[in-house]
Amino acid sequence: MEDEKIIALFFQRSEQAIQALDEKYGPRCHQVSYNILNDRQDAEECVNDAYFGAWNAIPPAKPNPLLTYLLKIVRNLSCKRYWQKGAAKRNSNYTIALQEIEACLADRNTVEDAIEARELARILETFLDTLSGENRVIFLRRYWFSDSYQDIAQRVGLPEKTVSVRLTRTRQRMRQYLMERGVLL
Amino acid sequence: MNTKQFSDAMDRLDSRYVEEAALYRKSAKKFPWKKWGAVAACAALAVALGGNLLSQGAAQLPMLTVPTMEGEAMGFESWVGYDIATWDNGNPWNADMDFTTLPVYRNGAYHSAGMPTGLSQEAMMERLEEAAEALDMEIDSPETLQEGSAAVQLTASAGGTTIVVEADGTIEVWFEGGLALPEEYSFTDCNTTDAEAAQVLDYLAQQYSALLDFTQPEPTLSGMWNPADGDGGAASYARAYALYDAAGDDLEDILNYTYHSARFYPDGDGKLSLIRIENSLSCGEKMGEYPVITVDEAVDLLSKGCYITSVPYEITDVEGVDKVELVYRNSRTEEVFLPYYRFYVALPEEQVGDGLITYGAYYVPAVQEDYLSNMPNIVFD
Repeated sequence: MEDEKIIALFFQRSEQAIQALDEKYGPRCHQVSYNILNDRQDAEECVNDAYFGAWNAIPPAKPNPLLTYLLKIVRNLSCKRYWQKGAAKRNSNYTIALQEIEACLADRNTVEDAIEARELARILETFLDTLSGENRVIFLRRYWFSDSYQDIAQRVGLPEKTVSVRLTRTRQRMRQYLMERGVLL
Repeated sequence: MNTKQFSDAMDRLDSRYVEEAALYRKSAKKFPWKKWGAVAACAALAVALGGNLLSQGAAQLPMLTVPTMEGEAMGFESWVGYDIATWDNGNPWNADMDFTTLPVYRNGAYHSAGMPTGLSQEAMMERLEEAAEALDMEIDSPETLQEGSAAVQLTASAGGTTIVVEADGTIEVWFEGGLALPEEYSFTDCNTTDAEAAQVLDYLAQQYSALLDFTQPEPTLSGMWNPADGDGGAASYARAYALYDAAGDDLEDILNYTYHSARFYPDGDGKLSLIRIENSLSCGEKMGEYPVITVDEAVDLLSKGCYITSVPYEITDVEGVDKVELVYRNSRTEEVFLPYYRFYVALPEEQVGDGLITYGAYYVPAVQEDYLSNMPNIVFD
């Protein structure tokens, strides 16, 4: 079903709206959540909460593209649940991806400067704009979608080892980029 | 900044980045050489060249100088075999490709004596580290070879493997004592069939995929016959093992075939001795898209002596042309990379026996004469 028709169902407050949403985008939403939480039940709960959030927001919201809107809600809810878990229970693709980032962000500054998330997001966007489309996708699939190397390799049509090398290079460039802008010292 | 802050920031990225990644699927098209150098503003080049331009509508293309070729001390450029018409050197060009223009590049790694030059030491170091990462090598500070004040080569070794990065972007990986391949692969200079060579190249493409970073590695199974040595040894076929990235369109494939390729060298025991990756356009600078002539027009120029060659024999009959292909030349001593039609002509003067024929290589510039400051007109003594 086209996105416009799904949104129309939301506007009509039809019970079929959530079903249509789940049929079209459910698997992708579940995958994003599972990559973060590594637990099917937790992932299902987050996805259901995301559907509930969409139900409350639409209308008046008329998101376009609908998939991205939904995925952002799913990721946000999944990450919140992730950070509520104890460290011992954090064991997912997301955990490993963050470990890669942690090594990259190692900072001599011992004071935890609270750079505002929105400001950092803008800086990251300008960094992402310096990348080729393929490398940008690889970076997002790893550090936004928390995909495994195998899944990324399949999606972009490259060997896993190549994906690994590309991500290493991109992290190094990001570190340099952030250092030049004073985000890292 | 900590990882949670990073993750929160990622959460706030504009939707367009998420959408791009959500919808992306493998594309057959790739432009690997777009990351090689910058497209030079033709106007800026015009200033640098003192305004020696030929106007072409809105674009001004610099005039090109065709280099001369001289015979090498050890011989001339040729191919030896039984019938060059059956020789497949893997060149992706074919006569059905209907190019009206082709790009010409300034060779940023040009050096009159052929010394490596072009990349900064920082850029060379980046390539060295990437190669080491791809080979799972932990390297210490590399050795630097200087030429004057410039670094021309970086070398690092670990565990019997040595990586050499040269200032023109060439990467060499040497395996001390040779690296044995699995038993099922035949990897020799002279005793490997075409089918076996294709198999081993497929294996090497997979093994070194991270090092090569080719989206679609394509094998080229070229080689040449060596005549009998007169001491009882029979004529033998000396094979070359190479790959290039064939993920682009026709033009990109032609450029990658010449400028972005990997060669694999066996030792006498069939072990992998050396990998050599060329990336000659990494220092290149595109000068423009130049109108080109057709094959028939090139044959006409050939008949008039408008070619360059290292062959010491004049072409007297173009009917004797046995093979033609569109090529770019690749050498540190060439200031400009421009396209040519390369003609192979049998040389009865060069008798090698065993039914083998020597074919000399003759080059006609593919760029239209209006853009050449010196159309070749060769005179033989």
